[in-house]
Amino acid sequence: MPPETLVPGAVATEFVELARALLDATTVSEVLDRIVQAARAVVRGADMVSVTVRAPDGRFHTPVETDELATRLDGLQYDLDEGPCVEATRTPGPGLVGSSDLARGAEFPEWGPKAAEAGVRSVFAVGMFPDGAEPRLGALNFYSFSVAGLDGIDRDTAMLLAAHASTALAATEAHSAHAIKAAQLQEALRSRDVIGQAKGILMERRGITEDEAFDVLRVASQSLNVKLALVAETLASRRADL
Amino acid sequence: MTDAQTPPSSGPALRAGLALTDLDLGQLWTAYVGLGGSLTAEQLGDALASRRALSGLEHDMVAHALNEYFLALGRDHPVAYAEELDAREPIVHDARLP
Repeated sequence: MPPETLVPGAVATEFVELARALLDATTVSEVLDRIVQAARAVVRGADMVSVTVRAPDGRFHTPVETDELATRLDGLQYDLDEGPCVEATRTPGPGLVGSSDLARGAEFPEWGPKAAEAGVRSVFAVGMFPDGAEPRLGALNFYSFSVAGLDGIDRDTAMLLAAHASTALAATEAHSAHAIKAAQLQEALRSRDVIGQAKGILMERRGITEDEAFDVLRVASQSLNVKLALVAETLASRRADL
Repeated sequence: MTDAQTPPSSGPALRAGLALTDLDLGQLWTAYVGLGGSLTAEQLGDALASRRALSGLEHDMVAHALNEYFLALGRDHPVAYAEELDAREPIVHDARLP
């Protein structure tokens, strides 16, 4: 009997597609954009999704959202220094923070009632790099227009998304660092090549050793207060004038 | 500059110079390679830790790589070259590798 073909559920399919999309993402912006689109699809109770990112200077901003209202509510949290986005970045453990009824103001006394006035009734945020030390890089934020509109399954799904986002962001950062190092090394090799040419010219013209030729270039660089590679490049490009 | 090995003050002088920059060993190695250096990053680390003696030329390449960093900041070659080592004390005696 041929093996039965099993069809994955909608959430699993969405995660498979997300993983595939994240493989192609090469920038932080692309990663966050794909995470937010997936979040909107798999966290069923969420009416709006946004991402909070903490800059190196400690300030927060929202680079990606599904709705302009989410950006405004995120911004209000940053201004008040109160709310699930900011708390999720500095709460130990999973970094899961929220409220099932914002109008009560029990969890977020200032921000909660203001968010409720704007139409949002429940919320939670989960820190990115869930197992990392706080303060974290940022948080994924989920808003609902209904009281208790986000349930336990939504929270678990959000945790999985945050883990995906964290892994993808770490890979992106590693990729960027690698690209910078590669560019620096490429520039070093170009400089080394020009210096090699200049040393060859000096050795030929002055009948000196390679080490002595480097010393000539080094002393000229020191005297003129310009980089040795520039001295070498000038010498190599004006070879006919020498 | 000579082919002879530099005195023991070579390592501390280079180490002190590196400590005054925000470069890490890998970045210094890249700059040094750009000047024609041929030590590996590990060998360079050994030289800075005074576990490996450098020739005058190698010392000068590392010193110049550091001095070019200071040049960009408008400072005048504070790291001693090989010919100056005997006459000058290291900039910071107890500077440690980052």
